[in-house]
Amino acid sequence: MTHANVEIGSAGGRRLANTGLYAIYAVAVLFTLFPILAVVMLSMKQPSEVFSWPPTFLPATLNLDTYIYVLTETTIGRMLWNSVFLTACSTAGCIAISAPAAYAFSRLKFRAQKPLLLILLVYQMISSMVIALPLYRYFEALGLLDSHMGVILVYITVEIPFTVWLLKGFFDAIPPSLDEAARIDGASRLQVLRIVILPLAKPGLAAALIFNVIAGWSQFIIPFILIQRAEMLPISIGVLNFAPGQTEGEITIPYLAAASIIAMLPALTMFVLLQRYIVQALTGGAVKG
Amino acid sequence: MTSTSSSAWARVQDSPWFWLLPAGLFLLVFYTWPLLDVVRLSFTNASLVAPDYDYTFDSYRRVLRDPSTLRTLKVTFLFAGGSVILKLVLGMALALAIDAGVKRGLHGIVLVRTSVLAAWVIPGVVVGVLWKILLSTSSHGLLNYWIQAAFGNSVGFLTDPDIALSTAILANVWRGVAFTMILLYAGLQRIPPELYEAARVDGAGAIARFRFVTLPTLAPVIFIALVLITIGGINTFDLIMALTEGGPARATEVVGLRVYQQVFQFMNLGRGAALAVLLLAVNLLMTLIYLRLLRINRKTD
Amino acid sequence: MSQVTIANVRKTYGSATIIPDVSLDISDGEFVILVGPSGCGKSTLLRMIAGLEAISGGDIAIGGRVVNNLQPKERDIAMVFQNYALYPHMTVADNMGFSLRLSKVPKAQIAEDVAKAAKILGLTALLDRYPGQLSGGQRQRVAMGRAIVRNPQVFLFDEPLSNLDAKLRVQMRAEIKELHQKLKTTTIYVTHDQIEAMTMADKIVVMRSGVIEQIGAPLELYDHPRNLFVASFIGSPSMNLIHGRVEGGHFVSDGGHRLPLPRATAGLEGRPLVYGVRPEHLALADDGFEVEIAVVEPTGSESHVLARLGDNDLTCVFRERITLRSGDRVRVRPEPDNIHIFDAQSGDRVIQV
Repeated sequence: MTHANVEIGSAGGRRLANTGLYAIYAVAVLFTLFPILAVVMLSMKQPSEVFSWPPTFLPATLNLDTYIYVLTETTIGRMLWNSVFLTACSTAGCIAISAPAAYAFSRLKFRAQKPLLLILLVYQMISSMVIALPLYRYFEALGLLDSHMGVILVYITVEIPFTVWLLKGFFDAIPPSLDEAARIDGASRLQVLRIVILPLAKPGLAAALIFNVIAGWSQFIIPFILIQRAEMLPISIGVLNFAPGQTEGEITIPYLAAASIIAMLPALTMFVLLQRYIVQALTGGAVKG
Repeated sequence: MTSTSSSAWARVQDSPWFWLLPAGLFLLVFYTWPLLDVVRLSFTNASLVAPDYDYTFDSYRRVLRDPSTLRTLKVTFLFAGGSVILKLVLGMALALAIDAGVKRGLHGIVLVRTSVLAAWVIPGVVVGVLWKILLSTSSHGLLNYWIQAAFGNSVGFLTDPDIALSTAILANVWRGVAFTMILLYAGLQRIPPELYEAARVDGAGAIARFRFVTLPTLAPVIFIALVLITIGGINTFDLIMALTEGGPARATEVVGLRVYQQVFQFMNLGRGAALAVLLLAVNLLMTLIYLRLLRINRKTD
Repeated sequence: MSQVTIANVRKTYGSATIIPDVSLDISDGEFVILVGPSGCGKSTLLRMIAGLEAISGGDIAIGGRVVNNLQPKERDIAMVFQNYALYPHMTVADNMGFSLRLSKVPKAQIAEDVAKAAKILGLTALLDRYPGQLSGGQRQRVAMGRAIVRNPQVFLFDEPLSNLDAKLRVQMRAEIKELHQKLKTTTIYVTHDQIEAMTMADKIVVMRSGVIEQIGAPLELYDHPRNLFVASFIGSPSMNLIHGRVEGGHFVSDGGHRLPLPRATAGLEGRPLVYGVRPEHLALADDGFEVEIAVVEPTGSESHVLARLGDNDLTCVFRERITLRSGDRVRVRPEPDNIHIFDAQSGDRVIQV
C-alpha cells in the first residue's frame, strides 16, 4: 500500500530522490568498508612495502605470506581456539541457564517478578570493570586466574541479564493459550518449555545465540584482567600482542593487520550467514502461525 | 504412588524459584557479591599486592581531590556525548534512507545493511587497531598521506591531544552507528502506515511528515537509544585501549582506563575501587533515567 | 459418571474479588453455557474448572472427585480455546495426537484414534497440513478434534466461535451441537453471545460481576427472566423496558402514558416499577396505545420498527410486511400473557402473568 503511494508524483522527482538515496548508500558502504579493506590490503603487503613512499592502497603483489606466517609461526591459532572455546561454552551455558529464567518471567506470576527484572536491567548497564576488580582477587586466591573455566563462568554471568530479557520478549509473543492447551493435553511445565515454547521461539534462540557469540568473541575486560598467560588469551586480546613494540618498529604492521583480519573473520562470517536473525530480533520478530 | 510423586514434581515446577535458581546462583555469586565487595573495598586502603588493609575514607578523599579524576570524567562524558550525537544523527539518516529505499523497492539495501552492521560485530580491540593503522602518521598511514597530498600537512589524529578524543569518537561511531540505525529502523516499522496516509491526505509534505508523524511517534525509541548509547559510551574500554591507550597526554583517558591503571599498574586497589564505585554510580544514574523513560513510554501507550 | 459440581467457589486476586461465591451443578452429558458480559467471571470460572487458575475457596469436583489441587492434565478434561491454540509447528495429526503422545500411547493407537476423530470432523484430508495452512473454520475443527481424541470426561469451550465470521459461526454452532448429540460428553461452554447460548445449550447460566443471575433452560430464561438483567441480556432485539408505576389497574409510565396490565396487580400500587415487553410481543391493534414511528428496518422475514412512546424508545418486531413510515402514528398492544413487571429498585421480577 505504502509502495503504491510512492508511485504518485512526477517521474523526474522520483528519479532524483532515488539517486539521492543511492548516494547515501554509497557513502555509508564506503565509510564502513574502507577501513576494513584498507587493512586487508595492508595485510597483504610485504614488510618492505610499508616503508615505500608514497603509500599505496593496493599491495604490490597479492600474496598471503603474512597470513601464512602469522598462522604458522605465532600463537594466533591457539588464541583463536581459546576464543572459540570460551565463546562456545559461555554461549551454550548462558542460553541453557537463561531460558528457564525467561520462562518464569514470561509465564509465572510472582511478587518478586518486577523487582528482579529491574535488577537484571540494572546489571546489564554496569561496566564489567566494576565486578572484575573483586573477581580478580577471588580468582587469584582460588588459583583460578588463567583458567578458562573461571572466565567462562563470568562470561555467562554478564550475559545472563540481556539473554533473559531477549528470550522473555520472544516467549511473551507466544500465546499463553498454547501453554495452557499443552498443559491440558498432559504436558508438565518443563515439557511445555521443551516441546512448545522453545521450538516456537527458535528465532529468539537464534538471536540469543548470535548476540552471545558476538559478545563472547568481543569480551575484553574480563579476560584482560583474569587471564595473564599468553597461551590462554582469547584472540580479542591476543591481537594487541601483534602491535609493534619499540624494537621491531613499523616492520610488523602487516602482521598486525593480518592478525586483526583473522580476529574479526569468524565473527563476521557468522554474522553474514545469520544476519537475518539479528535484524529479526532487533525489529521485534513475533511468532507467526 | 507415582501419581502423587509426579504431582509433587509438577508442584515444584509451579514455583518460580525452580526456574530462577541457576541464573540466580550465577548472578549472586559472580555479580551481586563482587558488586557489594567493590563498594566495601572502596572504603579501604587495600593494595593488589599486600594482603592486609585498613578501613578508611582515604581512597575517596584522594580520588575526589585528584584533579585528574575530574579530567577523566570530563573525557568520559565528552566521549559518550559526542558518540551519542553522531550515532543518533547518522543512525537516523541511515534508518530513514533504508526505510525509504525499501518502500521504493531500491536495490542493494541488504548490502548496505550488512556492511554497516558488519562493523558492529567486530571486537572493539580490533576496531581500535584498524583505525590506529588507518590514521597513523607513519609511512603506511594511507589516509594521512592523502590528506597531506590535498592540504599540505598531515593530521595528528592519534598524536595531537586536541584531536585524539575526536578520533576515538569517530572510531566508536564507525563501530556503533549500525546498532542505532537498527533500533530506529525497527521503530520506523512500528509506525502505522495509515498515519502517513492521513498526513498525506491532510497535505503534509515529506518534511512535515517527518516533523509531525515520524519524530513524535519515534520519540520513545530515540530516547531509549540515547540512554543505551550513552551507557555504552561511558563503559567503553577495549576500543580506546587499542587505539590510544588513553593518550596522548591522557587526552582519551576514560574512567574504565583509569580504574584499570590504578589497580593493575599502581596496585592501588582501594583507590581503583573508589573510582569503580564512581563509574557504578554513573551507570546507576543512567539506568534510572532509562527506567524513567520506559515508564513514560508505557504511560503514553 | 462425569457430572461437575461447583460448590461455593471463590476467586480473588489480591484484594479484588472476581467471584464472591458460586455454586453450580452440571449433570452427566449436559451442555451448559456460561453467558454474560465481558468481565462477568465466566471465563475465570471455566479456567478454574480446567485447573488453569487456582481457586481461592470452595470445591470443584469432576465425576465425583474433588480436583481443587490437581494439575490440568490430571482432571480428565479437554479444552477448546478462543484462538484455537493449535501448535503452529505441528501438523494437524500431531496436534490432535499430542495428548496421547504425552501419555505414551503406542503410535499405532494414536494414529487410529486421530483418524477416527478426523473422520467425525471431516479433517481426514488435512491431517498432514500445518495450522497456518488452514482456514478459520478448519482450525476450529482441529481444535475440537484435539479435544475429542482424548475422550475426556468434560469438554470445556472458551468463546470458541468469536474469531469466526458470522456465517461460519452459524455453521459451527450447528456442528458443535451435533457433535455433542453424537458424543454426549458433558460440555461447559463460555460465550458472551446470548444467541449462541440460546441455540446450543441444554442449560444456560447467566452471570454478572461474578454472580450467577439465573440458571435455566434457554426458553425458560426467555419466558421467565428472574430479573431485569436477565430480561435485557437474553433475547434480540432486547426487551423493551418502561419505568413507571401502577395506578388504578393500569401501568402509568413516568411520561404519563397508560399501558394495559393483565390481572393480579393488587399490592403493586405506589412503588416504582419497570414494565417489560419483548418486541415480538407487540402487535398492531386498534385498541392499543398510540406510538410514533421513528425508524423502520425491513429484514425481509420481519420488520423491526423503532417507535417512540413519549420519552421511551420502543422496539417492535412485526411478522407481517408493513407500509409504515417515519412520523406515522399507530396503535400497538402488548400480548397480555407476555408482560413482565419488575421492581425498579431491586430489579427482581414481581409478577409474571
